[in-house]
Amino acid sequence: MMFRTKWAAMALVATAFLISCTASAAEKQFLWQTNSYGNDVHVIDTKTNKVIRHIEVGPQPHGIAAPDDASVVYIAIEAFKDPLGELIWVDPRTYDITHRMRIGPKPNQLACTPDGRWVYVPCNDGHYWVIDGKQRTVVAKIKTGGRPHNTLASRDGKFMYLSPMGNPRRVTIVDVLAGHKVVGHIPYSASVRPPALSADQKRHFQNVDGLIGFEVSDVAARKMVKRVEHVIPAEFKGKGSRCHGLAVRPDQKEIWSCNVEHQLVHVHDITKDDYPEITSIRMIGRVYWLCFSPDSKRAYLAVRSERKVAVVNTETKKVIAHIEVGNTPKRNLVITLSDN
Amino acid sequence: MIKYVAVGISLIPLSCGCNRGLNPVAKRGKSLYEASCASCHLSSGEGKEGVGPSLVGSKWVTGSPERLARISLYGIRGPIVVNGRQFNLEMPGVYYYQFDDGQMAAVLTYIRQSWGNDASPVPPSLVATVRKECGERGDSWTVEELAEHD
Repeated sequence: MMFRTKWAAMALVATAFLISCTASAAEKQFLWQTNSYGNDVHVIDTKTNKVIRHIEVGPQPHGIAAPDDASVVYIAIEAFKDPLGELIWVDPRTYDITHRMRIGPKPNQLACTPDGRWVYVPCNDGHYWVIDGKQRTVVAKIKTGGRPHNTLASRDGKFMYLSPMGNPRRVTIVDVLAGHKVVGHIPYSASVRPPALSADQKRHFQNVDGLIGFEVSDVAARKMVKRVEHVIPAEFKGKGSRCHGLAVRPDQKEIWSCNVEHQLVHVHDITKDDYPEITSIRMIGRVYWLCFSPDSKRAYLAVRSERKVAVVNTETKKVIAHIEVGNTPKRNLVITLSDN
Repeated sequence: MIKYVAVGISLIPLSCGCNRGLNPVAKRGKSLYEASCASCHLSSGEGKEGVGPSLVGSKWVTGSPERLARISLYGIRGPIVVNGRQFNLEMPGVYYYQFDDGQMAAVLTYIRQSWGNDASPVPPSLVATVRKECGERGDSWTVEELAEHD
């Protein structure tokens, strides 16, 4: 009798503990949408798809990144009129800009390590600027040539993948923990544009100029291994387009690619070696960038020509909402804030 | 009479597009070009591979000044043939925000009168007219759309 009572008591304590963890770990998610020809960012509650905040950040925000703990949001300010750009630190709870730093000219899409410590910012001086996000200092500049434009951080915080536009036609791999050292390159067939990376870092993906589709590389072999073309509906045959916007679903099942001028988002199965196309989703305008909710249930597409974000149910592949944002929305990101 | 001849002679460098030396407007344009445009089109005007097409000997530069103003203010995207080469890039419409009418006119005058290009200068009034007509367009042009303005 006493034995059963003791086990019952332990079960009760364990249950109470689990419940308390779940309650205290309540999270809210927000889509941060930068407006690249404006001076602002729209913050959207992903539960309601409503804009809950509008932040003026500086002229022409063109890049956004945040660490896993959402302790800060980093935004690159391209500042067309200024010879130099800026990197800003924004508190995602108060929306205060807590720091501004002058950096290289016309910064574009940056990335930070999952702990937020290292921030890599592509600038229009042929270099990626490496910033210590905690100390708020520039610690290195990595020359890639071309027009530094897009950046990816590996999930383990060990590597950065740098994708400069133009003649390099390759991605530069940097070992962050080895002191921001270049450790390799992956050549692609043309100028590299938006990239994506599998969570296990085995596969790197690129939109490239001249291809309505994407290329796939074996990261370990440093070699492009597949070229995947999107299925183009007959109505668009003969109409030129390009791809700009590529992302792997967090659950690693699909890769989504934005076909700008055809106004389509192509969905491919990345669990199969030939990356077959599952479907394409029609957009209401020129679609230019996307991100996913962390649970993979929602995709957020920046429809730049319409000043809107399209919200897509990733299961049904249906557009479920359009959200009015600002001038020429491009880079976006879902930020998760926990209550504790 | 001599006064009028002297004035006429002083205007020749501005009007004839002679590439013997830059006039003051083009000189100002060069400075702005170097700071803003050369990163993609290079100081030589030859264009960075995979980033910006050549401006040298390009009919897109030396042709219709109004069309050039549209491109420069609002950008251009999609398939385009420049000097016999196919491109499919996008020039963003940053200069609508970055340059005023005088600055834009100076840059356009510079590129139309450099590197062997020999075309008429672009007055600020033309840039102003294009800006007023198109407003804050928000999207770059395609070649098809520009065909109406050739």
